Amino acid sequence: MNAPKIPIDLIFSRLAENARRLQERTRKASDVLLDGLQTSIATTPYEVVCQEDRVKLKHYLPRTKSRLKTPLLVVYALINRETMLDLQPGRSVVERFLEDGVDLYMIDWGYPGRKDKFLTIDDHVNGYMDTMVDFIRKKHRLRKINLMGICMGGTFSVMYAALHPAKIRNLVTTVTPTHFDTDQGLLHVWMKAVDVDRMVDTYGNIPGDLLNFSFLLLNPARLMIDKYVGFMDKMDDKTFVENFIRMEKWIFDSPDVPGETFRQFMKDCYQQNLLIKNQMVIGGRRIDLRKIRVPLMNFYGQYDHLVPPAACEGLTRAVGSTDTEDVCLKTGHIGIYVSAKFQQEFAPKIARWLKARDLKPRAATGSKTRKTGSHRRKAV
Amino acid sequence: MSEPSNPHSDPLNMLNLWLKASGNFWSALSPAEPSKPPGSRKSAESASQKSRGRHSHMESAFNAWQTMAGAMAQPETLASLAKGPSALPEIFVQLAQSGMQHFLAMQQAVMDKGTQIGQKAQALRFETFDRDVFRLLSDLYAGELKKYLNFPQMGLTRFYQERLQRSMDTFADFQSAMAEFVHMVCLPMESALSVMQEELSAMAEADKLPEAPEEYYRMWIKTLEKHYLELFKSEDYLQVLQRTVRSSTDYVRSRKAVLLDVLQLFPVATEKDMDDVYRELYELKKRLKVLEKRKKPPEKA
Repeated sequence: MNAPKIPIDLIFSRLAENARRLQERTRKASDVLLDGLQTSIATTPYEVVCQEDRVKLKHYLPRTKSRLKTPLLVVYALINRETMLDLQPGRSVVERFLEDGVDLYMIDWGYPGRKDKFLTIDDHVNGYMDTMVDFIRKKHRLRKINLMGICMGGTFSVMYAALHPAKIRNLVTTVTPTHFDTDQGLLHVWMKAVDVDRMVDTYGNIPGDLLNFSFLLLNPARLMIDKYVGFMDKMDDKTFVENFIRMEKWIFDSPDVPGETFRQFMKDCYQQNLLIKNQMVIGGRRIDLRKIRVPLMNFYGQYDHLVPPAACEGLTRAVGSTDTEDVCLKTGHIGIYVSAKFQQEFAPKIARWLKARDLKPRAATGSKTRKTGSHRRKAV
Repeated sequence: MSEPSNPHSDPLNMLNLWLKASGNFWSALSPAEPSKPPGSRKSAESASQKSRGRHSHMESAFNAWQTMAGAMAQPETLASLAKGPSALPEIFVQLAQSGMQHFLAMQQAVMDKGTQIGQKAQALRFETFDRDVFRLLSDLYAGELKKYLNFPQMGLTRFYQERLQRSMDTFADFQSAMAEFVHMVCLPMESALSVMQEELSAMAEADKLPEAPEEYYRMWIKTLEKHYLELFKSEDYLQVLQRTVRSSTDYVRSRKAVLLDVLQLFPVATEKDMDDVYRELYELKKRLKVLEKRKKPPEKA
């Protein structure tokens, strides 16, 4: 038997070449890193128009004349911050909405402190969200506004739309978990095993760093090793470094999650999957998803490891709307919002969809029919 | 005419008498083998084995006392005691010898315990060292050390001591759980490398080894990702995760209890005080909101 041929000479010569390049790159990188980097995030101008406790309502200053009569309220998750939608000029969902003539409001949940540990989902949905929605309705003299939710904020938006259907014209959900009984995502597997009561009783609020650590553990090979190896590869590229640092700023900016909200979300949703079964109760009221009869557009990522497609795609079938659309994008959890490719598609698509349904009489809410065209599923 | 000498009037005699009396007292308490019924030989043996350590400590202490008392009762020592401080070094040498013997006996007892530790380790088999080592450590801790932290406390400060000991106990438990967790999270690194080695051998045999070093890294990171995914879905990982969460929360709670004791000494609000206020504030605000909503005129249909 012949001895295997190992191209050891080639491998070593490549290694030597790589080492030389790395040396050169490191020299350039020190210039880049010591130079004044532009790493600010969330720079699109806005004003805070309403505030209740720590929760603020941001109104983005319009850039063009509003092409939609109904304003859009965006509700982000309690985990991480809404600044993800406005990472940098030219790469911002917020900018795209403004350019498309959307009158844009966004809830900033702030940083919960110890005094917020008793706040429940009811306080967030029927309390803060309702206050903000009422403020916008009053300001614009409208009965209904458009609502868009992101991740956990999407789940809150679904709850809100089911409990306050008279205040919502159109609902957009993006990477929104509503069906939690799936083993597709590790988070769903882990959350069933964790003693949530013990955690909340001990920590009060769930520390943001602890949650972030769990998210890193979802894929340590990529998120803790490969990501930084990739950084080393391009650290001499100023634009790349600036974008990388912006992302780091956003990803590790993790407010704590109010304890009681976390407890209910984990137990009722992740462990008992009550929402999709129309059995979840907040503030003494049962959430019946069939009461959502407004047009619904549901985005999710095909490669989302945090909120897998199985957790999202059941919503359009569970609601009472006749005008629903699933949009499956070939990206991950945050790729929808930060990837240049999907940004060009995502916000304009929502703006077009909202415009098509702006201040039109509501679709008949009788028996649920699924005609071709009324419920669509797209993979982009 | 000389008066008859009174033995109690001479201080050296007094000391001698006291040493003898003390010796008799401790002899009566010395560990004696209890009489055993003929049928209970085995159980008595095992009981005797268990209590051997305790008896040996007693014996050692008793011997130390006897040596000391014996030495002091020697007429020469008593005489030298009477001579004054210049004779003290002799006595100290004897005392030191006895003390050293006691120390050696104690050291032997510790070594005996160490031997038991080795026996336990053998029982858990070291072929599966990676898997069992953390269980072994926590079993060792639970069997050998934990009991000292659960030693019953007495007196006015018993509750404070108990809380302090509990925090030390939970900290040790948390450390052990965390070590196991970290070890488990590092396992895919090891397994991915070994899989890589196998793959590379296969590729070398097929003459398909990549020339670019980056390719090796890509192969490794892909394998590592796969192994992590497998690990994180496993029942073993979930168990370790549960233990880590449980032990960390136990530790945080016990640490808070100790902090509460400390903070109560100072004129500052404790976490519990603040939580009580926050809860009241939360409830009041909620009631206020309900009242505000009730007061608002209903919206036009």
